[in-house]
Amino acid sequence: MRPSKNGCFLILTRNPLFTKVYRKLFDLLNISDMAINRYNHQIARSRIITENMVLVIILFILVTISAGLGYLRIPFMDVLQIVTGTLLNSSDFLRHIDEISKTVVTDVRLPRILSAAVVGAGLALSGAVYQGILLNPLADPFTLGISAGAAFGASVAILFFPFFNIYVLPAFAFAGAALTLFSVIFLSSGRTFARDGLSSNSLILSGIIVSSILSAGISFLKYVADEQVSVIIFWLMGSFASKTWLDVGIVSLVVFTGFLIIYYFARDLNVISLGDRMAATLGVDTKKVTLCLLLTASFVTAVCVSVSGIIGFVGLLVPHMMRSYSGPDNRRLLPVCFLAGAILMLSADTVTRALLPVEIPIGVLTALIGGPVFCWIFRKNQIRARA
Amino acid sequence: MIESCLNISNASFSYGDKTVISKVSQAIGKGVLYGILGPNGCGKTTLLDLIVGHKKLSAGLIDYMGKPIRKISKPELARHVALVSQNFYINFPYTVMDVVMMGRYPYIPRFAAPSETDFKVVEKVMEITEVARFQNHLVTELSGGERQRTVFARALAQDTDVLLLDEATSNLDISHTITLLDIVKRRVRKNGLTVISVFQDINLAAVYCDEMIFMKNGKIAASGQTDEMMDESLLEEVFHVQSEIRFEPGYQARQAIFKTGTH
Repeated sequence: MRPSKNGCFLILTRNPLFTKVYRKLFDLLNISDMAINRYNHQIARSRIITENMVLVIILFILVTISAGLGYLRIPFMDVLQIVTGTLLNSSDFLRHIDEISKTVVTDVRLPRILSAAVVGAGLALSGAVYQGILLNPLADPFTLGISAGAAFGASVAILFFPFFNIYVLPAFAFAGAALTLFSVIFLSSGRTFARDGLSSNSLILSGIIVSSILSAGISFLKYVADEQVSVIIFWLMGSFASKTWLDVGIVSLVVFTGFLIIYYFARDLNVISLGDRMAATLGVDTKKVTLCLLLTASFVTAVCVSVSGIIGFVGLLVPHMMRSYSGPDNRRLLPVCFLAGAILMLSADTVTRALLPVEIPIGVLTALIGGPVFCWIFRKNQIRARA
Repeated sequence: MIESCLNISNASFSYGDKTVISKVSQAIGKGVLYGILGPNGCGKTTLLDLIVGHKKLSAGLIDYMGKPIRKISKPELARHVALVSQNFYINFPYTVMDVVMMGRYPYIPRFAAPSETDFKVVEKVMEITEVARFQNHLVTELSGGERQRTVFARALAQDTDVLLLDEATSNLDISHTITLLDIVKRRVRKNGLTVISVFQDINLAAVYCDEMIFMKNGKIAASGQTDEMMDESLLEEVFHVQSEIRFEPGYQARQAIFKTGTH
């Protein structure tokens, strides 16, 4: 028997909470598992489009609300008019808006808001990729030491070029991240560890080795830094304050290109996440795909870190939360992670910028909220696994 | 004369200085069920990895239908050779059906949805391997035996001419072992499937295999028809066990009874 079209329960089929309920229901209605599965596969595409549209709309509303919040409050409709007016380059929309509001929205708030959203999207995306490749739902950009590399590069820049920070700092952060990535790949692809490819164990191990060395390096730089030490510490805590349209442009270019490349390999990533032996027998060139995905995800991370400083837990938490909602299929998971990461980061940045009395570094905020939330999720899963 | 399907000639493989497979040559006939047996660490699994292209030969050649496998593109090879491995962990909550459907990836274009044929193959395979009953369960929550059958169903869904089994029945109880090997045997006879299976249990292999390959220290110690291979002195030479071979009329096959308590 084919299931009827109004199978809205099917959307919930992944949710363990509803599993028992819907199974009972389908048993009663005499709908076979095969019919459900086919139906699920058939509606998969339209479902992907719908859920992503919903997330895009949420993100857009959030951007607009956020641009109105702050020291100077600007009504929702005014923000909309400023944005459409600037985009269409027509003065009709801007007639009733005073010049200060316009400047605040377009030159101060929007660059910060957009860079927060894009960085959030990039970190969540690369988190999902690392988790797939390292076969470990708990991996993230930090596991491979990429963030530590960027932080080390940035610390060097702050220490030695204190007056040229605007361009030098991202460049050094990026160079640090790239060097770290290559040394981690070099370490883990040696003959001793794995001859046939990059095994996840050796990657994680090399990542931990390299990032401990780099952490010690950062501590040393802080020790010799003297007056610059506060700048280093503040940068390490992460912030989106005083971002420009240039930052937005660079980070968007890299993150969106990265997304396209990664999404092209989404299906291969599914197979790789079942182990590389299985992937090899299913016609995936494991070594090539792993290397390509790893490089892309790491460059996305490096650019994000170089723009915003170190912001933890987004890359770890977002894919983990989204997986329980959309399932592990990367063709569905990656776009959802991308948008949810943007929404989460923007919300966090708006809270620290406009709602809290004092601006807390966003890296601290995400760790303070993300950490306990993650503990809670992890514990819940542990209990469920034992039952 | 049986048509040859895979031809392994002088195949060698080493990790750094450690030689795992050294100069193995063997013709694999089409529609024959081979059993590979040998002591632990003799290179059985590595040999399968070489055939499926997961590991690269250090020297020598493996041909599939007269063409070197390294010259066959990976998706193309995946339509001809499938592997069921022994240890199998999945950390991500895919459903059983999702995993079986992955067996169709070599057939489905990158951004396309599964076709009617893909669904039919997957559903049929799940039916005969008896995983259909739990097809909506998450693989992370299955028992070892159920997971093993899921992986087996995935390999069958690949619809290949050659099937490699790496101790595919090691996690299964006797009833599921027999079910699975019966399915394999039937496909060998009916569809001309070629199977190379690693076994630990010599007597089980003797019941199902047409030919046996004994490996020792990365080399083929002996190979030939099952009846010839079930030989007391040969088993002692390869496995260092003493045994008594009897013909078992129920199986129409020779069985070994091993001497125990000598250590």
